[in-house]
Amino acid sequence: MPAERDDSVKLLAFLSALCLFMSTLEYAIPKPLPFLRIGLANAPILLAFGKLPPRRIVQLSALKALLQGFVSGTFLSYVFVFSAAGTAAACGAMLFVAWIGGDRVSRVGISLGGALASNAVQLLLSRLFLFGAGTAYLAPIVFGLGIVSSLLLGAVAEQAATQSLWYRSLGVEP
Amino acid sequence: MLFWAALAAYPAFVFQPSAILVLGEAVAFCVIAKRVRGRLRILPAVAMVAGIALFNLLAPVGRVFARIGEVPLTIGALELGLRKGAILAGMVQLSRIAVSRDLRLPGKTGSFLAKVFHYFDLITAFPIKPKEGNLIAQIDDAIMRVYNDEALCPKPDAQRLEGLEKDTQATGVIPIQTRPRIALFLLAVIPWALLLLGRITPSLEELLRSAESLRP
Repeated sequence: MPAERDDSVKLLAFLSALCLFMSTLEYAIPKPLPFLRIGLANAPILLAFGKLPPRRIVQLSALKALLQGFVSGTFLSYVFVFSAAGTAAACGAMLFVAWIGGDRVSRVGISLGGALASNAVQLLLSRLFLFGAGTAYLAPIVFGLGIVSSLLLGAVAEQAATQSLWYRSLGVEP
Repeated sequence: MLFWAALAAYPAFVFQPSAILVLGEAVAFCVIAKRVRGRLRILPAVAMVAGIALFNLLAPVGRVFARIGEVPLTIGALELGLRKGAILAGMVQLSRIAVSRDLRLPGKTGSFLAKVFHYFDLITAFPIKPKEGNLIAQIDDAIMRVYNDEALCPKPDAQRLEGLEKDTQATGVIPIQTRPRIALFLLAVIPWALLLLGRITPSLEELLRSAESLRP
């Protein structure tokens, strides 16, 4: 296997493990409402921008959803379906924002795009399968908290990318 | 093997049209999950089913069986809510049955996932001392060392990866734990049989109508 591909796979495995670690941390943090999540597990995905090519970022997002499902034992449950759908939408939105914005958009903007897409899809699934029209009452809370947490997460990821010695030691993947 | 059996049962369970059969299957999955995974928390499952059923009662469907003030409670809405709630509760238990720490997937996928979990173990085990200050620098240093220091990868893990690949190549199957194969077969197949049965099983409303017609 070429060295570049080795490094790419190694970084993918490592960032997947980081996603899992951040997900575990998030479970320990008390939440105002049980179904609302901060999205800490998305931080490694934000860090992947600029280091991994788009297909690896897609793989990382899929792994994040899968691993969360495996470890929490919710792999075949509605939680996984919601998480996977949200992750897929977020990944698509983040890649789109990064592609459209190029150097003009930071991880804050990428994070915001991902959060909005994820929240929209999960609310749609709630509308269709769980709460019906009552989902409309949840939407403002979910979007509001999503915007706040995504902006914070994006800022933290941006800070980590500029200050982390480990991150700066990584090569840029072609 | 439990993983594959649960995966096989999954679509048949999710698409089961009969609320009665879905409830029965969900209860069966609870029993199996308790048997194979230990502790079962029944209260969250009951609360979930009840909550979803209640939400669905707010949208009347079919025959009215009671009223709360001006709100009619209908059999159709109750059946829909119970079916949705039971499917969600059953899915959670099916997940518990399917997934365990001993789960091994074959080939390169299995090797890759083993690496991911190995990194995860190293990250979580790395000592961070908050009282020494500069938490960010400590975390960065920990990540740097885990990522770059091959000496942190103990040989037994590498051997386990090699052993797993050799076993998979030699036999063509994942090394399995001892499980009653008939039970696994039943877990995978019975939901499909019930899916066919569900198409001819009467709904709650039809059962109620039949019961009323039998009254003198």
